[in-house]
Amino acid sequence: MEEVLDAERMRLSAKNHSQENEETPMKGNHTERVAELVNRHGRMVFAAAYRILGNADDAEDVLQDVFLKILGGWNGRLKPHAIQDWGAYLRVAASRRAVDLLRRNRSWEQNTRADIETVEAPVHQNPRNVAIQREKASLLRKALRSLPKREARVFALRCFEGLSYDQIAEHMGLSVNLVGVVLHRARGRLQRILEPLVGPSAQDASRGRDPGAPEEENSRVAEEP
Amino acid sequence: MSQKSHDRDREDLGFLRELIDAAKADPPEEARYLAARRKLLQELRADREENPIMSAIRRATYGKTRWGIAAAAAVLLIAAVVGLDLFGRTPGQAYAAVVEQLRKAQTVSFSAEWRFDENEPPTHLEMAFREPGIQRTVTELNGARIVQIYDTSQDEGIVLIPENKNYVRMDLASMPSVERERVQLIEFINRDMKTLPDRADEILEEKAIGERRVQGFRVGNRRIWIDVERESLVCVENQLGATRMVLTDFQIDPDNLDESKFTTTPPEGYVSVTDRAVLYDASNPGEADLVEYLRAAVTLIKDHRFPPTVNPMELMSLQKDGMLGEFESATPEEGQRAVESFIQTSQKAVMFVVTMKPENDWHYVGKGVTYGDSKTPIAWWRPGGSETYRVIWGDLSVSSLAPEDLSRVGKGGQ
Repeated sequence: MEEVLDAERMRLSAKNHSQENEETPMKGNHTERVAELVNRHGRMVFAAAYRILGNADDAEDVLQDVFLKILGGWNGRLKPHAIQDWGAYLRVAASRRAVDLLRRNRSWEQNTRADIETVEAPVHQNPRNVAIQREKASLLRKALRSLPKREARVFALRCFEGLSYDQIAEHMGLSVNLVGVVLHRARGRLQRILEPLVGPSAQDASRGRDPGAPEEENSRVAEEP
Repeated sequence: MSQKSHDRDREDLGFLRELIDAAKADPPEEARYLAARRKLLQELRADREENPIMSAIRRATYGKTRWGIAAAAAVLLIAAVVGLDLFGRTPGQAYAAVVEQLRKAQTVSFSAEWRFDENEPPTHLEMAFREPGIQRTVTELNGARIVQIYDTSQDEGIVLIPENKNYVRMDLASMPSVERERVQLIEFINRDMKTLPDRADEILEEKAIGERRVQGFRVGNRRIWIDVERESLVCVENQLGATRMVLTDFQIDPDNLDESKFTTTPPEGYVSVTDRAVLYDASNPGEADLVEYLRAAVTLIKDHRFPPTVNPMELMSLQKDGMLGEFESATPEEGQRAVESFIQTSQKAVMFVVTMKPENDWHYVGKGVTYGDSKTPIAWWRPGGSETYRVIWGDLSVSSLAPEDLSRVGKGGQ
């Protein structure tokens, strides 16, 4: 349902954002059109989901979910011709599904851990550095799980996908100012959660904060003598 | 504040930047993506012409099992609960068949029960639509009938009053295109039905309507009831603003269609009540149109008490009861203009009321109130985004009242 609302919002604002605007006229039946979208944007959707989730199995779920929902809604609630910017639309849809999955899927951490340990580092990179990078990314994702949904989505769209404030505002139905506020809150929460682990005061990490635990819980831990 | 300043002022990511870069620096393996894309494209191809329930199950289970199985189990459970036959004729197929019938239909007729709001008695109409763009409604209110036939392809219409053998020609040519979209209720309904999506949003419960067992479907704010066995449309419940409609007795492309019911030529023996076609224009309806209509209506009514509803059709029954006076005019020409003016005013007033939304909290309580009673409210509503209500009083003055003040005048909450 939210995708449909997003599409409607985009139709109403009807702003041009990127080169994807040229892609709107597509011929063929619904299935062919969606297949064409998969060919054009599938990699981006998969990557956007992967950046949030950190494992390919869950990213595949997101890829499937996003495009099959588009097929299901085509010419129904979804008005494909009204979508001016499929790239931004699909990024928003992917981040929504990915954040939902990140928060809901109990086996997420296990899957991600498995990917960190089993997926080989690219040949041109130092395996140790790659492992460190993956651990850092994993910490961020784990912390992202404890954020309210909207904050996690806005953070991912801005910091992972590089959407502008205006684009996020438009596609999520928020005011530009509210995007700033939500992003500020998200950043603050993440910093509070992660600073003891990787920030300037990382030495405090020994207090045992769990980046996946609710913030209140961590606050209590932090206050303990 | 500009976007740049937002970006500059608020993006002090600090050490988070390093973590973000780490997340972005580790892209998924290309082979995994290609495998996922291949599965998805196979899925899309298989989706064609398939039982939607089976398709949903296959979508949920394809490729992997981690949460797909749970989703499939949920679908199967739902299917079992609502009694779907996954391998035979399904409600989804019946819905799709009805959608197809409506899309191909040249003529659709049905009965409609229509309420301006919940406080008003329902109006019953017989409606029919014939391609290209001919529509017919028959309204009956307390025994008084009125027949309206509009041919939008020819921009003309006719209103027949069989009781008096009178008719009024309507000129649709000057009707703004926006109005054409919105005003022509039956065309709207027809188009709405012809553009139903391939699949319903939700399958509702099963129930009996008359002697038929019907399956419910929700599509947007419509509830559609279909006889699954016969693949026939039985009932549509719809909400247009504050107006609620229930459509029944559908006939799609009937064999014995009477073509004379779709002509704008007046039947033999009928007399025109105006000397020219009346302009059909309900564009930009507003508060003033409603007030003007109420003033015209209450002036026409002999005891100068406000009518039971704001539905102009109601006046037909008053006329039948001898409660309606004549338009005052010095000459026949003036009388003609007064009739035209009244018809046009009533169009706008109706449009103003019909386009009220539930949040406008529209109420009409004028029945029996004497014209000139400045202490008694006869109607109120809350304009979109307003904290206060607009109230029309018995003397047809209009004022704004806070909700608590509206309660104090003794009518709030009705």
